[in-house]
Amino acid sequence: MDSNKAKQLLERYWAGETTLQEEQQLRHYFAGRQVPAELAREAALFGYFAKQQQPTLSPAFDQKVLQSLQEAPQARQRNIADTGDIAWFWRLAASLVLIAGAAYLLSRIDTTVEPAGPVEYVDTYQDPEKAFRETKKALLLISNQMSVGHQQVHKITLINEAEKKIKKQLKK
Amino acid sequence: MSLEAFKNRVLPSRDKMYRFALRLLKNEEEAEDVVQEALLRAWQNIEKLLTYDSMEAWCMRVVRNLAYDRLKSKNYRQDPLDDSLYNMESAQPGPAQVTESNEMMQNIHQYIEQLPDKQKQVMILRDIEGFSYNEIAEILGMQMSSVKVNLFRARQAVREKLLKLSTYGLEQS
Repeated sequence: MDSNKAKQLLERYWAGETTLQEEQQLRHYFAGRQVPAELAREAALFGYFAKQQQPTLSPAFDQKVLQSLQEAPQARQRNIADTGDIAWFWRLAASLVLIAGAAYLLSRIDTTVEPAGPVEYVDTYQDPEKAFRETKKALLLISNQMSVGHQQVHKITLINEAEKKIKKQLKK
Repeated sequence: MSLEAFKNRVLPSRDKMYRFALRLLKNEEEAEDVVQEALLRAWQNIEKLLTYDSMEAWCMRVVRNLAYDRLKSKNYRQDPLDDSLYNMESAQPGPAQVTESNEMMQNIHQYIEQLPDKQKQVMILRDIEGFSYNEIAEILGMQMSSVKVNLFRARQAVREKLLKLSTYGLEQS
């Protein structure tokens, strides 16, 4: 990079418009060569930036940290493949239980349901006269019960009529 | 993640973490402790760490939080000799030292130190440690737009003061 290009980049640098890559180019420019006197201030600035990267930790620090990490319990890593397998196992188990349950219930229902088709009525009496008598007897029983009910209703009707008559008398 | 993978993927950030802690705490021993604790937390929360785009930014944020916790502690005492770390005379000369004017670097150090805290941290993370805007936002818990504004202001402030320096590093009246 020549000094003109460096000056252009510096203008963009001061305006906060340079990319990381362009700033890296400026660092390289000021790091490796003599620069024009007019850029001495900027050279000092980038020299300062480079110097500030010097404080570093010793290799002994790495050993100390790695030792402490080996002793420290690491949070359980969630292995996506592993958890997926476990999830699939439980899903499969639940599905099998459901299928087995459904099959059992269906088999039970099949044995208890009436066979499909028209209902057949079977005669309970072989002798028609005896059947007639029994039928008549049943109908009479029903009729008597209905008559009892009718009598009760008739009483209520009488009360209602009496109430109406009293009301009319009172209005007069 | 195995210890070997941790060593290759997370441990290389230790120096950036250390410098960040050192600038906040101004005490080598405390800074080293904070980095060790942050690395331990990274190891213990490796599952969470793996979900982040930048593991380095996550570690730096932990360093920042731990350092602030220590600074808030009533018992915390800064090392009075700490500033020697930033003394350019004590630093090893490197290829980046393109000027003979040590005084100019001393002045630059002062200019950056005098910046408001946010501006200073953003400038250090960007211009010294080379973090992206996104990573700086993550580390400092700021909006990215705020990172850009603070960086712009920091650079403008440093530039204005630099322009007052002669090319030999002497302040011009």
